[in-house]
Amino acid sequence: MVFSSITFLFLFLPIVLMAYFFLPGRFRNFILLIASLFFYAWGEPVYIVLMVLSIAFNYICGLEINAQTDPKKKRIKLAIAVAADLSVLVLFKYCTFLQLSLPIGISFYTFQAISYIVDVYRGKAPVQKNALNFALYISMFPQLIAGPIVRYADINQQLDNRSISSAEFGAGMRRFLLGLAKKVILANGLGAVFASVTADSASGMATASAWIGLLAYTLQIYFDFSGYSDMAIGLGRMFGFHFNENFRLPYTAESITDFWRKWHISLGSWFREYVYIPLGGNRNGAARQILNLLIVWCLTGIWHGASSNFMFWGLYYGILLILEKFIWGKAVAKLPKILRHVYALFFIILGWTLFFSSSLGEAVTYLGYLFGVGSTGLTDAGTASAIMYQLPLWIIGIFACTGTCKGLLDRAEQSKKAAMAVNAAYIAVFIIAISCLITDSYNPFLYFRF
Amino acid sequence: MSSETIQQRKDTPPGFSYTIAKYMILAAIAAFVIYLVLSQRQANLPFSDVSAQVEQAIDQELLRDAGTKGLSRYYGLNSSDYEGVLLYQSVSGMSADEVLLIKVKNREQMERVTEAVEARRESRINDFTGYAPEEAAVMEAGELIIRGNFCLFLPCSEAAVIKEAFLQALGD
Repeated sequence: MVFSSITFLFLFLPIVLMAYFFLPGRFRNFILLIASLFFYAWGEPVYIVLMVLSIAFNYICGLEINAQTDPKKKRIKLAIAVAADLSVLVLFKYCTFLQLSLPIGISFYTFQAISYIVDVYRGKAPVQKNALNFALYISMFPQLIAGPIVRYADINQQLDNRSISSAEFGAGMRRFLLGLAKKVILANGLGAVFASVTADSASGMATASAWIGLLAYTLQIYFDFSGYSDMAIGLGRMFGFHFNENFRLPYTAESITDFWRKWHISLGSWFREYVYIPLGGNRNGAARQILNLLIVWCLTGIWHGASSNFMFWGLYYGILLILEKFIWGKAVAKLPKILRHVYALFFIILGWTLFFSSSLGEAVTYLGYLFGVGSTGLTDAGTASAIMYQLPLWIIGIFACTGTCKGLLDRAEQSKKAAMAVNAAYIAVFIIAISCLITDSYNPFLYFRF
Repeated sequence: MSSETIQQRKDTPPGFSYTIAKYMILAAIAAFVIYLVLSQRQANLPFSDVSAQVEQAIDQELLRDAGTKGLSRYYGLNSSDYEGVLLYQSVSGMSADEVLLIKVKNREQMERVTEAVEARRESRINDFTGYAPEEAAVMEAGELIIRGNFCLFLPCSEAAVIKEAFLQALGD
């Protein structure tokens, strides 16, 4: 089941909301847990067993680590717990010779479990003795399948004590609708452009078509993933939870460092907190810092998938970040804002070729097309139609990446005079999104495959 | 005895060992993984192995590879969403013969594919009804075979041969 499906929107969610709000408050966590397990089992009737076992294992490990007073034994138990969690992830995600299907969401819930174990070990969060609450933290359906990765320390108090109001519910619903529109209207529409332009890329492409395809993918992946995050955050808010933001207009970045403070924030934070800092961060000299950055970014790439293109994508950003930190960062900072923006966007957009290609070779071929190497010419028959076919989406999509769009939306929502118009707009967006859902073909989330 | 130790002992149910529970759960996970490896053997055969055998059984003078664009155009499916796709269609526009082999990633995709196949079937029957009833009959009789994550749609005069190649490739 996906958020952008008729089953979820008109059956699952209404039933869960009714049960959540009309039954006594003490049942809320239980209802949410049952709904979350059902939600996961709908798409993964076999792998629900794995998730439940993972929940049980990490719950026990948390209690065990908390009860252990000997620091050495505590560290050993932590190591065993983290190693076991990572082993399960590696087994399903990277041991392709076993030919096991990848359980949906395993990368996300495994990282959440590790976050819990380490936070309990460090004393940053109290151990969760209530098994139901712990299970809810790991399996909560708004963020289970594609994030954001919620650190236990950020949410543990909300498990026991959260406020629910009509204002919060309304804000959550608006956020959810925004995410739905991003995914169903913008991401799917621009995804169709990308698919159309690149359908026969193996046999050659015109340079302009290659750029159009790449730009379409750049927008598609942003609206797909940030749209899902918006829906997750909106749903969480409807149930009284406040998740941290996962995207902050990443395509307005003025450097690669800035981009990674704005893109998939929860993943970057996780790697910083649980890998980069424990490795020593920047505390042991430049050489060690460079090594730490390379390790973290290699792992960040690998987290996305077993194929080599993801590792190269991670290393691509690792190298760029190192170059910014040690070579040209200060020079970039002195450039006019527009040039900083162009610099950042150039590398961000090019980087997506490594992400969508199934191999490094394919990525290199595509990069060649972008610069006229091996291309079939500057333009072809499909070039103009790729833009004109979805021109309104291109315009709205590019505008929606900017701070201006967000600023207008925020001001409109806060304005009492515009309240009716804003609500009407949200209803219209919902109707358009449902129409797209009914008529469009299968529309999974790109980040489901992680 | 320190108050901390007393509290820890109160927290832990009598006779309960976290360590034993932890390793029992790990053993359950290991058993589950072994079960999955054994039970998903068929579903996880590489698409290329199965498609190679199916392609060998197809008469490529009568049917041609329609590629990813064919899947999108005639079935409304995006080939990049699936593990593997093979679509052959008749070189003659007057023939209903078609072979679609597709490997999905999950149950939802399988539902989507079967819906798309039935929609395609209905559309082609409508195309042929009236002026080529025998082709409409081929499409109507076209078998939809699902094994694990593989789906084979065979509205084709050579269906029996191709079906056998498919089942052999799966080890059935």
